[in-house]
Amino acid sequence: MFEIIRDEKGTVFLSGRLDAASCAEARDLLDEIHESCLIDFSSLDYIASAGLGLLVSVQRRLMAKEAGLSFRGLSPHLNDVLTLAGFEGIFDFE
Amino acid sequence: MSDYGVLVRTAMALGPVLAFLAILNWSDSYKLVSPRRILTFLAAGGAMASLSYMINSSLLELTGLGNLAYAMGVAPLVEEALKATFVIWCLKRGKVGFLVDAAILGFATGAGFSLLENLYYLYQLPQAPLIVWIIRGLGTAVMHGGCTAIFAVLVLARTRGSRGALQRAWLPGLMVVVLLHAGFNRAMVQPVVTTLLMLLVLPGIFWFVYRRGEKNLRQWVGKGFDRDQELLALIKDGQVGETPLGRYLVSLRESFRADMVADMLCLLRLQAELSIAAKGALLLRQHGFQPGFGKGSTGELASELVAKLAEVRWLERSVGRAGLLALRPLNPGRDRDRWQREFLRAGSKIKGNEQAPHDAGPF
Repeated sequence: MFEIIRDEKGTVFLSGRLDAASCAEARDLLDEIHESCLIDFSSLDYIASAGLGLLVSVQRRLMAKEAGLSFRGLSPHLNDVLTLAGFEGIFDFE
Repeated sequence: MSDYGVLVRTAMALGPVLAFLAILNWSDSYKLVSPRRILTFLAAGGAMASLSYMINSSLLELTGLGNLAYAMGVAPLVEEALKATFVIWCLKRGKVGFLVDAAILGFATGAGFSLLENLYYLYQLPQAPLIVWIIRGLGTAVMHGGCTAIFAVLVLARTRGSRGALQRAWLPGLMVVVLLHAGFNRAMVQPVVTTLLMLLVLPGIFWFVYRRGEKNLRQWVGKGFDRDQELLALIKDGQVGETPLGRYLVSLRESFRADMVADMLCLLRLQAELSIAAKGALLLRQHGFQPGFGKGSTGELASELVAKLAEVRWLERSVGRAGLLALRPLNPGRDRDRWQREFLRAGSKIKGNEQAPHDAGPF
């Protein structure tokens, strides 16, 4: 079950599986973000290319406003996959 | 004739085909073909035009045919065959992998061919009326680009990078474009109508090719990326043994030495990592970013890719053709391995002999 929550400080928490099916739900919340934002992946089990595509499009939009997404709590595997995919140069990894 | 007249004629003879090529490249949302590679394709097309001039001149003499008969019957075969030779060479080496970059490769090669041809006629017939250059620029030149693009797309669509299928696919593709070219030459008794008709039909063909090509590419990136990251997770977390993949690898031990099975596992892992790098770069380009291993990248990402590409080549030699065949079921996306490696190699700027071997071939 996928879940996306934004706390009072503006940090976004993802949990479950972010895949093609759950992208619409994630997009609804992420489209409300218009300034730099921290995304916490500690409880995320899996992210598909559709989810990555969504994050890249949000990043593209935010970078046009001198803002951007940073990632926290990436699992070792997800960290490796994002590095391999060349995302390290696009997002901030905490 | 005034300089202005020469300028207008030159612009009409060369401008339309270059504008068409620029639109094709601009429409490619994944930016699969670099500007430098487009220039290479244009130059290759020009080289084919020079060759065709020499061959056509000799054959014209040998056959004793009239110019018109020769233009309708023999020239299309000679010219399309020469352009097709370069396209086939590019397909074999994995320079293009999808319908969109195949269309750009083909059109650019045909455009290069017609640019040199028109420059030659501009030099030979400076007094020819402007309408001649309008027809040659909007008609003949775009026809050359269109025919070669159609050839490249037809062959790629039928082969999807498989070298064996390439041998069978190029001849029908060549026949189609030779007929189109000969038909165009025959219809040029009505040059304006023929040119307008072609300018109406060709964009429609490219619209369909791009729509289909980009959809296939999106699916290839999406499904492939997910499959690769799941395979990588299995291999790295050591859970391989409990999966169909693991049971298949264990079964290989009956046919291969243990150290070779270990090399196979390493090869699987590296293939998955290289595949994620290529697909990640395409995902970024789709959204307007530059891939991490390009010019603007940190040095060590590019050198890491260089090392992995070299290691894959070493592992392929180690497991040999039998080992590669045994791994085939585990890599459903292999038909574009060659393109993927060429994409990564070109992206990380490897020069000289570090090319991926084309004898061993991907599994």
